Amino acid sequence: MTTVWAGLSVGGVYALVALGYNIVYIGSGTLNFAHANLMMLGVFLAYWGLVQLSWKIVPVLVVAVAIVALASMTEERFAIRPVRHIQGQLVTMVGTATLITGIIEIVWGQQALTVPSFFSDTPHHVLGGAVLPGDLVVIALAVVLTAAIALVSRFSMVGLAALSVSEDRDAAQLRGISTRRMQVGVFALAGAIAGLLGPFLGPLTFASYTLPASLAVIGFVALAIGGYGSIVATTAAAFAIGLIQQYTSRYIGADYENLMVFAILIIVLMALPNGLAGARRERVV
Amino acid sequence: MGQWRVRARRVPALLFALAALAVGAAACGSSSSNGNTTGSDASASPFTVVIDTGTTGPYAANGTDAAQGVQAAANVLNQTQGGILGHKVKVDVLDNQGNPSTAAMLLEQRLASGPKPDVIVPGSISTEGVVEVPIAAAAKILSIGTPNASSLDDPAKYPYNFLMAPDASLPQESLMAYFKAHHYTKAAMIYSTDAYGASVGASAITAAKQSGITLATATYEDTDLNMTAELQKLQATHPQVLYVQGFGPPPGIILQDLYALGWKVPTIGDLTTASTPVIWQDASKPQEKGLLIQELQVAVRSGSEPVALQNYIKAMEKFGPITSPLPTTSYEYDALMLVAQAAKQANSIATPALASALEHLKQPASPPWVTLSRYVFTPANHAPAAALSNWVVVPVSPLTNGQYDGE
Repeated sequence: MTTVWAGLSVGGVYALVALGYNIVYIGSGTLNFAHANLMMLGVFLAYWGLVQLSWKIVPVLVVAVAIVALASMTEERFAIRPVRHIQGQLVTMVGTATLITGIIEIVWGQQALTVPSFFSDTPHHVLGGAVLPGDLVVIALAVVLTAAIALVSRFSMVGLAALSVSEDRDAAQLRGISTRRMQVGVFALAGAIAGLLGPFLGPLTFASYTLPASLAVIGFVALAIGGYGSIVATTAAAFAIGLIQQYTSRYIGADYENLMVFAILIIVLMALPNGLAGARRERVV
Repeated sequence: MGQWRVRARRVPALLFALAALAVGAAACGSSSSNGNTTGSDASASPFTVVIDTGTTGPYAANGTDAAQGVQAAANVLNQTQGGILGHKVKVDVLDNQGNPSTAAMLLEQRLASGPKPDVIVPGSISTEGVVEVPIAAAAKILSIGTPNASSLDDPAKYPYNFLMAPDASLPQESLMAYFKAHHYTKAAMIYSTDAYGASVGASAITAAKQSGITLATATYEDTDLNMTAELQKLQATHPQVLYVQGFGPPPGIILQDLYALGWKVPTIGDLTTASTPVIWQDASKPQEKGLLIQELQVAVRSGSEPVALQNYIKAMEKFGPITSPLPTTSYEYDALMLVAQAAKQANSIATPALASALEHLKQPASPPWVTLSRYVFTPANHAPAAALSNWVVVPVSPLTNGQYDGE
């Protein structure tokens, strides 16, 4: 069971990254390649507030949410909105990711830093397996935030409007939905969540400028397996990936853990090109 | 006519003065470039050391440390010995931003434009060394530094290149000697799949075989966020001791997961783990209680540091508080100290004389270097042989002046 908890904890981190991708994708049709870097910014802000400024957790959360949301909105304003084509956006998003990493390296250096946990460090035995409280919190956050965003997107006017933008931007605009406001809103929301998660993820991942490498690729794989825009399926896929990685490492070897994940991705995409819960569209042939 | 007579009388005096200057110059035996003669002269040209490394960019920490180590040695030599054989030591730092192409371009430009340097420190990492050593060799300039690649230890190809870091297998052999001394016969090791981790893993496996120790191994990817599964795999082999290799977040994650697992096993971090800030900064945390680290003796406080080590620490303090273990700068410091000792031994700063003196270096009573107790180069091997006693295993503690407590 300890391996299961470890897999769910890692899967929870991937699910939270993929959730950020999905929020932006649903409301703007953009796959934000810099989102993992925004999450890294949240982790470093947690270090800054908790360690360097010795603040309590609440003001750290408030400041991290505000700053990362602002950074995400700035990205939308200067790297996404003026660039019409996806090819151009790809370049500007990678540029934004590089810029965020560069600023972090200048401000905090290249050494990994410890973000203190505000939960107990003592491992607990739950359902026969050892797990740290911080791991349980990440798993819970992934489940709760996924449920909340899924409910909002299905049962609220804002959520339905966002879904309509992702389905057909022009049609949504004709129906009176401000696609620009929607785009700004989803970038702000994804950024705010990334900032909120910083103090929770930091104690598990450490604050390191290499963090996006750990988050981005597998986050995208979860998105592709679950289906772009499919929040619940993506989170389920992320948890599955975490478990696959842990069991592969334990019984086959760490060299094979990502090979196994990508093999499964290929199999899923060959059978279901839009992912496990991706929308199937008719096309004229 | 009178004027002519006066000029004629001045000619012998002028010739005499020129002859005196020529004799004086010959006696001094100094040279303005590359020190291709012998002897000393306090007013002579500087002894120029060029270090071409990335003081900015992705390896800025390594590059800055390396440059500071060289500069500290230059400062100590200038203050205590007036330089090298009377030549003040001058250090030129070329910032290649961690890019090997830029490193090659900057070095070529420097050799083409300024006076020929006496020594080149070919960066701080192997990717810099493999491009800079051939350039130094082509210019027949002595190169010495930490870049470690098997291709660089080739005296036939690079007769003037010397490596500072000893063979990578020596720390592992030293560790196996420690295991044997503590009657450990079954050990486990977890290491990174990156190039350095793989080389440490391979060395440890070989050393364990030679020592008759059973070593179970598991690897991890540097991007892994949880190592529980790898640790469980090792735990199942019931080792008496666990050896951890890694730098950056991985050692911290391993210790965290070890703690979560509740697996209480003597754990030893390797040299890279010992260089990881999260390890020594968190030394008081429960996850790191009982953690041991393998380090070079220089990074462990003895309470009665030799004068050379005191000089080195004082010189490093001038750059600010020492926040990394001393070996991050001490090899570069030693590089220049070795060159100074070789120059003294050869009574020359000419490249062939320096190289020959390094190959037959005599151990002074009080060596000015600090990292290894003794450096032994031979004409066939330009990587130093070193005693296993240079490496020690000590409990992790907060660093003071780049040293662990060692208690």
